[in-house]
Amino acid sequence: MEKISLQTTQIDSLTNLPNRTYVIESLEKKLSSTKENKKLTTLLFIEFDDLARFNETFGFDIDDKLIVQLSHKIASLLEIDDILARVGNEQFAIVSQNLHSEESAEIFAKRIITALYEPFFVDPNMFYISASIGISLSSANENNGYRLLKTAENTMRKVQKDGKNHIAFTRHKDPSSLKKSIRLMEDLPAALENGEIYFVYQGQYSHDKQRFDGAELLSRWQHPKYGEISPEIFIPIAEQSGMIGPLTIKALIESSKMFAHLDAAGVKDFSISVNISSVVLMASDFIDTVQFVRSNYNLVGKKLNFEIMEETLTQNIDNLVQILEKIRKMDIGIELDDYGTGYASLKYLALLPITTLKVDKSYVRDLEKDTKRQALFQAIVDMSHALDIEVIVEGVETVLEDDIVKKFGCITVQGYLYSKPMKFNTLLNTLK
Amino acid sequence: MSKRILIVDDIDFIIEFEEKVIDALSKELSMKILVDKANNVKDALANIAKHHYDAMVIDINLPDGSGIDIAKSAQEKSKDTRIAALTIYPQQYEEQKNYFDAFFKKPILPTSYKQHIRKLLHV
Repeated sequence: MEKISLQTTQIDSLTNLPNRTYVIESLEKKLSSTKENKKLTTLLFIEFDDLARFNETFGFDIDDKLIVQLSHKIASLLEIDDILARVGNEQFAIVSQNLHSEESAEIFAKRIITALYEPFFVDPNMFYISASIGISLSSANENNGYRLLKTAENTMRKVQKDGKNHIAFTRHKDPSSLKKSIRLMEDLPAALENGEIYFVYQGQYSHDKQRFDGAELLSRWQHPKYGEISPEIFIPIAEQSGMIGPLTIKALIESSKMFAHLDAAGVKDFSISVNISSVVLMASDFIDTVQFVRSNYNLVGKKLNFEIMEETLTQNIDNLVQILEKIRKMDIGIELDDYGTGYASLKYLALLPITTLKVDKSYVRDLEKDTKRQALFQAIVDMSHALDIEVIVEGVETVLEDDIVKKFGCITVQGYLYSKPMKFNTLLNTLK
Repeated sequence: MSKRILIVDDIDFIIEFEEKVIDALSKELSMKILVDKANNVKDALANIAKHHYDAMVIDINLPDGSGIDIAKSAQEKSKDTRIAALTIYPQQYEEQKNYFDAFFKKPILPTSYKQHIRKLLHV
């Protein structure tokens, strides 16, 4: 959540959150920036149902205590630059520029509703709280913060008439795709338990050792109604719904089991790379979770790598350095995935404790015809080796591509030429 | 001081994960916490007949019945046992809240699960 300096007229004294006045002012600033940065501004208006009725039974200030707990719970779901405000007695508003579509806004709202499924405790009593949420999204011409807030509030009122625990929009684009995303989000927790989510491995071939010396662990979802769901669809849903943490833990536990199989088969010097989303990496409990899994699932001394995406580098760099250094202290390698597609400037390679660069497949296509790209490619390889960073080239699909990459001194390649993603037993048979 | 907990779930890796988190908590608190495990209603009831439990964490959907039956049986044996339900959708079981002291939401994460267990055991 965004850290803000507030004047006393802008603060809610109970929660120390910004109040309605501040939200309207900040909305107008965000709306004017929407035109420049082309980001969608979304407002979620949340009203909790009948908190005051608890006072009659349990004491006069129960609703205040619950409001403070609710503010903490909702704040824990927000991105760093989202704004949470208390805009009425039992009303909160969230202003976000991190929701890139109506679909992600609705999934996020659903996540808030789901978070309220857990009871709240004001000792010795346990309370269940329901809420209604109205959502409004900025259009290109909208610049009135008050109007956006009122639209969301009015939408929320319509929702309340229909019943509790509902969400509604000011408008919808594609109800069928939205319905599918919501269904996937609802099914994801059970899919993590019942085996619908499973893992495959793509081998990494070392030219130097002339064998596979590692593999990337990839998650898959076989949904009973929709069939094979692409990770490009379900990973963002997992990120938006809070399920990415449990999915990552499952992947780490899977890797520990596979290391045990490798040991039993006598396969030495083999690494497994697990993808770590920036949402997971920046979560406050991530390092504790990794320490827990590492020490309780025999991952100490194993060649485990975390793959982070280039987009992770848009996070606060000081925080990121600290987190990655803690990971390196646990002897876990850091691989920077899809290198060369956007964010990673050269300074990051010196600042961050990266052990491996995974050069994006787009560098490999038509490399033999493009001399400028060849020069760039050679520079990436030389620079990495000078910084003692290993290089893996992704997306190698043909013998010609493989031959060229080898000439540049790249000793490890990952791609369909050597290995498609496969079940672990198949990979293990290849290694024996 | 030592405590005894019964965890009930039909999925082995969840039981294994819960046990490891409780073991880690036990070390952090320097407190012996004994964990018994059951995969179904029948085994859970057999455990309840044999032992006194300070706390239980019970999955609601089990292959041979409902975790609610385990909670009822545990309550009949001892009012002191603190019982939590472990479920993906706690809200669905609101009507059964008289049988449970808390609802833990699946999937579990180590940090929050430890906090939940501490609250359940009052430690």
